[in-house]
Amino acid sequence: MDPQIKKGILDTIVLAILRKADTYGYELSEQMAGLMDVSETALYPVLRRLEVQGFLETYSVEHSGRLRKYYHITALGLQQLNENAKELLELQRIISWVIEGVKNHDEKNG
Amino acid sequence: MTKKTVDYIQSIRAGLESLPAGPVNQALEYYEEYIADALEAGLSGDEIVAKLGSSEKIVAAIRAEVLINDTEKKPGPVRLMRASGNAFRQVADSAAKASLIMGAIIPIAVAILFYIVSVATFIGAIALTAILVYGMLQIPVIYMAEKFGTAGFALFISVLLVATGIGWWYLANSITRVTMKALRKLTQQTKELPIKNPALSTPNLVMPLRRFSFKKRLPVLLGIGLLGAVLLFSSGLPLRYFSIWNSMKPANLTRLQKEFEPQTVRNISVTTLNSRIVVQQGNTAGLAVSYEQPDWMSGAIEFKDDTLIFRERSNGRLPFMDFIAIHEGMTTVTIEIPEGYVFNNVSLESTGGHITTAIFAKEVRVHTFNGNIRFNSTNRMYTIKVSAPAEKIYVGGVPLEPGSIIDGRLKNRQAILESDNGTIEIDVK
Repeated sequence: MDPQIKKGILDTIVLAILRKADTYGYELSEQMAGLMDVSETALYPVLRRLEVQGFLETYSVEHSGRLRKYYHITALGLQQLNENAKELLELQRIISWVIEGVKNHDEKNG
Repeated sequence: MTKKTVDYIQSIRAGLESLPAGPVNQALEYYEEYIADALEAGLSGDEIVAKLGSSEKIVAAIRAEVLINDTEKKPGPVRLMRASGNAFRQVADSAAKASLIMGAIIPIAVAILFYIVSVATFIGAIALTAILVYGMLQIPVIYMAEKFGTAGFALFISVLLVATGIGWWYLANSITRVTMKALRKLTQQTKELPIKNPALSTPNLVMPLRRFSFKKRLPVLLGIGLLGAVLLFSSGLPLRYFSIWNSMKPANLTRLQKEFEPQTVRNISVTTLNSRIVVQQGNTAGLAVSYEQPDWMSGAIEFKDDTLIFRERSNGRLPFMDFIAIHEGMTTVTIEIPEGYVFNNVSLESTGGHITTAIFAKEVRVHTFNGNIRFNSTNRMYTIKVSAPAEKIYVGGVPLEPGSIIDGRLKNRQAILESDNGTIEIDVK
């Protein structure tokens, strides 16, 4: 996938996962892995970027004698997620149209 | 933690050793927590390390980001070069490299140039101050005002240059900040997170030295500069230099005068800094030397064996007189000789003064660095060798090639005329 598109989608997926429930790094990355092929090295900068932009915030919870950092989506993050979702819908419309065209073309020739 | 994961974290830490601790700890905290949770979920150390990928990759990613953020926070030439170099090395594909070069190379170059200018200004400040202090030490103790004035000038000029250097430095810093913002955009990095946990913000390992703050010391600096300016202007030095520089006639002239029996004088030797030298034939029977002496010069009229010697020297009151003497002075040393008298050797030399001569001698040498020469060779009497910049030699008003020899009527009378930067006019009527 094109790195630019992938980067945009990564942000959206992280926000979407966090919208359901607050979660911590490893869990988040496991959920991501179920959706798309993403290296662990890519996820940390995404989380940091979203935090710097104010789309998510963190808090620590004690867990078996150590601190675990949880990520929580902010109101601003929810707003951003909605906007991203709208764009994705738009993109989906275009993609459907393109795929439809390719299919028809293939059927005619095939 | 298994041995494998501990080693993994250690190698990341080692790779980031030279970077500021805050952001590095933030990153390490994330990866440590990730490993702990993964182990808890039942993964083995090998599996986790395989999942995370090579530690070099993680190090490189953190490094690129931290260097840019750190440079933006505390700009400086070394950081600028390190962050830029790292950013260029990070980018692998040529298209991204091209856009990085297009976007960043000019601001990087400008910032580096300004840093160089700044450092050059500081070096200039040190050099100039050293020269001025040397000049101040050369001034005799009796001229206290001039001594303090020169010291004041040294203070003033060094503060001025240091302030200018600081200005360039700050300018370079702000360009560096803008460059880092551009670099971050171009390489798609993230800004630094504010560190919430104070325990993480341990002192920076790269720069353990306390940074010198010019801003805090600015009032002191300006005070020193002002003191220097007050010392300088109250000493009256600027006015004196101004008058010399613009060839103005100085006040407080002392007149030196001496008369000689012409029969006893066979040779004449006159050397001045920037006073004019005039040798002319008078109506008197005697040989008279007169000199208008400014209070920063000392003139000496001597008679030794059969040579009349006049020397104009700086009395040390104004430092760097040798340098300033390239400007013609409005003071004159005049030698009046009786008509028709013939000398053996006449040597006239001045750094900045004009030399006008009408004399009969077997050999005349005239040399001036910055002045003009007017030489009288009535009836083409002398054989003259001239040297002056091209097209600045005139014989009877007609231009002459430099380095020419003008054959004179009398072969045993020769003149050597040299003006390094002035004109030479030879009268032949």
